[in-house]
Amino acid sequence: MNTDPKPTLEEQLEEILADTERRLQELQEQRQREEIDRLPELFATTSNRWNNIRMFIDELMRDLRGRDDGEQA
Amino acid sequence: MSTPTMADVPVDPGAEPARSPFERFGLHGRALGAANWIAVAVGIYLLITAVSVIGDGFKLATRGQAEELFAFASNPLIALMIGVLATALIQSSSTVTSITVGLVAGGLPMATAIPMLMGANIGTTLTSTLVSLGMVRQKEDFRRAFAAASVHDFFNLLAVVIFLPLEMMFGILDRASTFLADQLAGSDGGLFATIFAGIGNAVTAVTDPLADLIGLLGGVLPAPWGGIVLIFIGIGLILAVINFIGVLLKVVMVGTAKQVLHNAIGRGPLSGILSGTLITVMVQSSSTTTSLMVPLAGSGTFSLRQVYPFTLGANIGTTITALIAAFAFTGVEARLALQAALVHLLFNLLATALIYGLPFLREIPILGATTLARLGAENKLYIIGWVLGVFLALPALLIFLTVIF
Repeated sequence: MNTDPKPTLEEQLEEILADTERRLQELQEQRQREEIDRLPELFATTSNRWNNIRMFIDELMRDLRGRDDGEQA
Repeated sequence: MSTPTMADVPVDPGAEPARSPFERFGLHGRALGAANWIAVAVGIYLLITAVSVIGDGFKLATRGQAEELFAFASNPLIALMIGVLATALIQSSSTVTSITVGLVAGGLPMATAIPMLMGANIGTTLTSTLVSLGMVRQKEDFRRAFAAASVHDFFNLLAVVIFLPLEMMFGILDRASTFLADQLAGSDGGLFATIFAGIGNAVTAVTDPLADLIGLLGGVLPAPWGGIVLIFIGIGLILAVINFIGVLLKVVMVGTAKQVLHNAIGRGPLSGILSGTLITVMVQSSSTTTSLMVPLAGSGTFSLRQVYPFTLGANIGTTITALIAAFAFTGVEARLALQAALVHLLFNLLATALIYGLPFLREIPILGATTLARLGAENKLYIIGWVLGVFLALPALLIFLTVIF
């Protein structure tokens, strides 16, 4: 005779949620590992930093021009 | 919000992975590996020699009057700003701390050197901020990347806000580092001092001949120019060597660094601090370590809370360069140089223990970084205001206030 009580709906939902969270965590960790394997490329990207200032200023100017155009319109 | 994917990680397609300069000579396999390691050893030898040259140059230039000559920097805030600006300009805290170690051995007062070392911590945060600017075209990525970069700014600023006044009032870093330096390099320090002195004597026996040879240049020119020339040669040598070692270490340590990062995944913040420390020791650059995490945070691969302890490890790991540099000296100079290096180490250890250890302090850098990143992603003028404010306006204001009052 089976003496185990049948889990309630609430308990089943909790189990599903915990399982989903665990699976998401595993997926995230797997993704982190894949990115870490690209470490040499990441090292290279981080050394190209002075060019970023120009890119940022260009974007800032575009934003400011867009704002001016919006106000005039 | 889009779900980040592999393709979202913004790796510059034009950027090539670091390669050993010896590949140009047709070396590969074991021969290339051996050449890389020999070059790293030569680089460390030159680094120690350069620090020794700076110490000699500073002594020659100041003729024992360093305290009077550096009276302008006796104000801790001015010394702090020298550290901030020099590091932001050079983009290497290891370089600035190594130079400071050389200057201390040459007579720079410890009371001036301590705020300079603290300033190096703030100045080095500019690098990861610049890296985050590269993601400005994707708003959400930029918000996450900028938060990851500025959590380092906020932490290091908070550390200085707490520890500089404590240092000025009680001299805690000075006292603690004096005690430790006496144990490790004092004349009556016992076993540790004997071992340290033995290593120091062996290192200086190898580095002194080249340092003395370079020092001859200082003797040719009239004072104080001979000393000044030596200081500039030493600084130039350190800059070149740290860059060169940095490239080589990225090549030779990449496998081990990957392993360290893999091991840290799924573990707690202490593991993050440890892996940040180890990777920084491996590549001899906190800027590289912290910048590395910026694109990973920007893509959403790592959360801000995962990046945060890693940057604290970078602060601790970068202190190894100054400790190596301290081996450039013997006797009293060695004790002073070691003390300066220990100040940097203790400052970062204590700041991490206090700020990260206390929950209410731990949240301040996170709160500051997320708020600033949210504002900056909406309006880029906030970013301009922050960078110019921290690295220019704040130093100028502090100096102005201390001069007035």
